[in-house]
Amino acid sequence: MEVLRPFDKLPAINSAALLLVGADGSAQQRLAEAVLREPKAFRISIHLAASLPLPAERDHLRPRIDLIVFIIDIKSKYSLKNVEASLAHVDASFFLGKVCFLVTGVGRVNSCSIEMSAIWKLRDTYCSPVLLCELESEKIQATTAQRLLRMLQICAGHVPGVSALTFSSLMRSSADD
Amino acid sequence: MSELCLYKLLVFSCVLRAFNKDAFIFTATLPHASAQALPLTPLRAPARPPSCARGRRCVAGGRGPRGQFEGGAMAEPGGAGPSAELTVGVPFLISLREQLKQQLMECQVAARACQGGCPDHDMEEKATVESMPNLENELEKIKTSFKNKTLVLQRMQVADALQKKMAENDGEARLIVDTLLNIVELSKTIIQFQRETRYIEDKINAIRRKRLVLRQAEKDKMQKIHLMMKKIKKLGSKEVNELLEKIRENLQTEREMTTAIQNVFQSIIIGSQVNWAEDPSLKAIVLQLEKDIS
Repeated sequence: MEVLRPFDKLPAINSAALLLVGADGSAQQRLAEAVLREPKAFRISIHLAASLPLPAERDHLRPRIDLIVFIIDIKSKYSLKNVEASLAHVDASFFLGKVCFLVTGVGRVNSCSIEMSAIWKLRDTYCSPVLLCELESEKIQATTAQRLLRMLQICAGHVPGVSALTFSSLMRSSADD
Repeated sequence: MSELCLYKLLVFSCVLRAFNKDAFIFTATLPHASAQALPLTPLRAPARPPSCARGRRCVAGGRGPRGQFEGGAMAEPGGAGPSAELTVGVPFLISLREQLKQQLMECQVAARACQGGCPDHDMEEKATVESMPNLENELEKIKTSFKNKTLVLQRMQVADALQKKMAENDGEARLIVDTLLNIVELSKTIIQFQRETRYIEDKINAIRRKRLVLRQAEKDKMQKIHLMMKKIKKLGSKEVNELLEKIRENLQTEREMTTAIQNVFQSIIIGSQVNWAEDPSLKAIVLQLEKDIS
């Protein structure tokens, strides 16, 4: 079983790698395009995966993954199950701030098939922040892309004095209340 | 100034080399100049690895929408010859240095965490565990005070809102006054009932106290009676013993006396030289005297 580790590779100069994990390919792609549209001062590579583990054959070509975003579609139970199965292939040190859950489709509460309590439980179990967004709306999509980009910057160590762990603990303390 | 820049560049290339092992020279443009978004360019990649066929989606190697996106802000490192010109701004290099420092620090921390188990760490953990109850206490105190303050604030807000409402003096204000009066009436009743309850409780308590005192007295009395009974039993057994002894002594002396008298009678009858065998009553007496009493 392949386990993804945050520190088994050296970082590349002035670049960051984002891994989007989610069952819904089109949403991932739209989000990736939105992230790439944002202005930024460093090189970014976005990897898309439906589930973990990542194939071991191309491991040597992959850069160090700085941030894993698990995309959960609130309208499909399968996406939650898929994410839960994928979480087993992530090393524990990734959960020190380098993982976040992105819940999409929160604008349509009527068609929700996942209870929010399940998501909060996921957040508490894995000590990782949860972002809520609606990818159908252009504005929210852009805002989400900006947030992800900022988080990625922190996780990749581009912001002096702020580590991923600091950031995630800040997020958690605000989320607890 | 230019010398300083050159020196800094030298230092950076050293740092980069040490960090990435491969000596390379990079070209970079200023960050603000390269900030515009570049079009998406899915990487051309060879055929999918065999794992893709097993249901896993290929990540970095797939073609088309499942491929890897590269959005560039900086030119590719490597590939440039040693004669490549460096067109790098100083602020960019400084920010790059900060980045490297931060990344180095994170890697060091991760490495130290991986080693683990050092005594310092254990001690720290112990200290942390020991200080936990104190901290929790403080947290609880702060929480309580916060809650109290919130309550006070809410009450003040409610009181203020009520006052303002009362000042308006319309239908709602009258309703509020009615409700308040009702509340006062109810409170009075409650206080009355509480007073009665307390009175009854006092009574019950007094009765209970009396019962307790009585029970204690009963206990004392029972103990005394028990003691007395014991004493009486002891004394009684002693007296009976003494009495029996006396009776036995008396009996003994009487017996002795009787024996002596019998002997005397026998001697008298024999001494009187009367033929006692002829007279049947006398014969009976003499034969009776022959019997030993003891």
